[in-house]
Amino acid sequence: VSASREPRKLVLAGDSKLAEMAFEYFSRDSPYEIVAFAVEQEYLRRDSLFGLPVVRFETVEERYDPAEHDLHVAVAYRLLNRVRARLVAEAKSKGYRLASYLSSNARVWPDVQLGEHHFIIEENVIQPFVRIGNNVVIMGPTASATTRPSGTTASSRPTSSWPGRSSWERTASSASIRRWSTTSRSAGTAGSVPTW
Amino acid sequence: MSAPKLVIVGAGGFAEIACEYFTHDSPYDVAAFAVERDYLERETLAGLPVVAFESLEEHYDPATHHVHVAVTYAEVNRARTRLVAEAKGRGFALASYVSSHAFVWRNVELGEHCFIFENNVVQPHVRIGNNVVLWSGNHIGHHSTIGDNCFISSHVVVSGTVEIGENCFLGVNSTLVNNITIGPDCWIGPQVTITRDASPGSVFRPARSELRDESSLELFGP
Repeated sequence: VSASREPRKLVLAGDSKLAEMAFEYFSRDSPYEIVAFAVEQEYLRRDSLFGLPVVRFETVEERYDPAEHDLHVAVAYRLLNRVRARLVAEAKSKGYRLASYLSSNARVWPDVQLGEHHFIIEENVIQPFVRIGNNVVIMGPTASATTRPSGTTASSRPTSSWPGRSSWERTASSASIRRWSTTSRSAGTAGSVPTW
Repeated sequence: MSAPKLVIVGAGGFAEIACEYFTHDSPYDVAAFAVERDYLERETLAGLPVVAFESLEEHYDPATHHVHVAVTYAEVNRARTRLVAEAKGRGFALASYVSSHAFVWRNVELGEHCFIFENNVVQPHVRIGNNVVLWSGNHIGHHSTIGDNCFISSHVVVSGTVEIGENCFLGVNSTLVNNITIGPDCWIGPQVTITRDASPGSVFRPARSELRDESSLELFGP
């Protein structure tokens, strides 16, 4: 979208536990900078979350210009995904570009077709010739880890509980979560797709 | 700075595995194994001495040696729990292992004396108590809490916002749906799916698989 190294500004719709998760993942593992949460009037219970404002979704565009902000709807599967789908459609019609999250610890084959507004977390394996539609959430993979190539998963250790040794720490930092490269594809798409 | 020294309590399969992981994927150097006198059957393991746990500090100074108790879930985790408490009471610092191939989110709260194998996913806002073993490949969903002394065997799915009490055992491939509470001391068998709260001390046996009368040779030919 732009060659700028400025992070894109992001509004998260929702303030539930899923939004708390999305806040973590977008903050630490995406090019976005989260600036606010937006919640429908009926569910507006607080003014702030994680030090950021929580505003009315119905009028979010008055405070956060769609020309300068992307939006992600961090709502789970209420009404069999209909709530999320409705909010995504409304955000799009307000003029927001939709933001996606793809974990740097997911393995997605390069030719996979990903729709807009997806949320795909760590350790997922998405194989060749897969097509994924719009507004798809893929949470934790379950028991099948058999297709994972060995030695490619990354680690993020809680440093406070771990005694350090310089040789080990070098290994650990090289294996820790990769930030998306600023030279990767636009922030609105999948960003850098890790390859096998 | 030299590597911290470690004594592994136990001399069974888990102890052998722990020796591998601590040696090749942690800052520790394993110095010895320690076993309770009743179970002392050999003098060495993996080229290292095996000594009596009861007199461990006579050979290995608690000021310079850490301890990890590599004992599995005997007596619904009570054997490991007792040995950890004894080692701590005798002044040994407790060591944890977190695989460099585990995915543990930055704000996870992890207690002391944990062993986390490769390919675990521990999501944001999870709290894990003391003396917890996560064997390989589990999914520990966001905002869940795992109590002290639990043993989560392998490829278990703990969905988001689950509370697991202390001392529980979760068998391979077991599944816990979100927003439930598992009381302490539960034993959840392999492949069991739990969809509602479980009272303390509940035991869930897996469904029996069906054994057919025909052999495979009869079904598919010799």
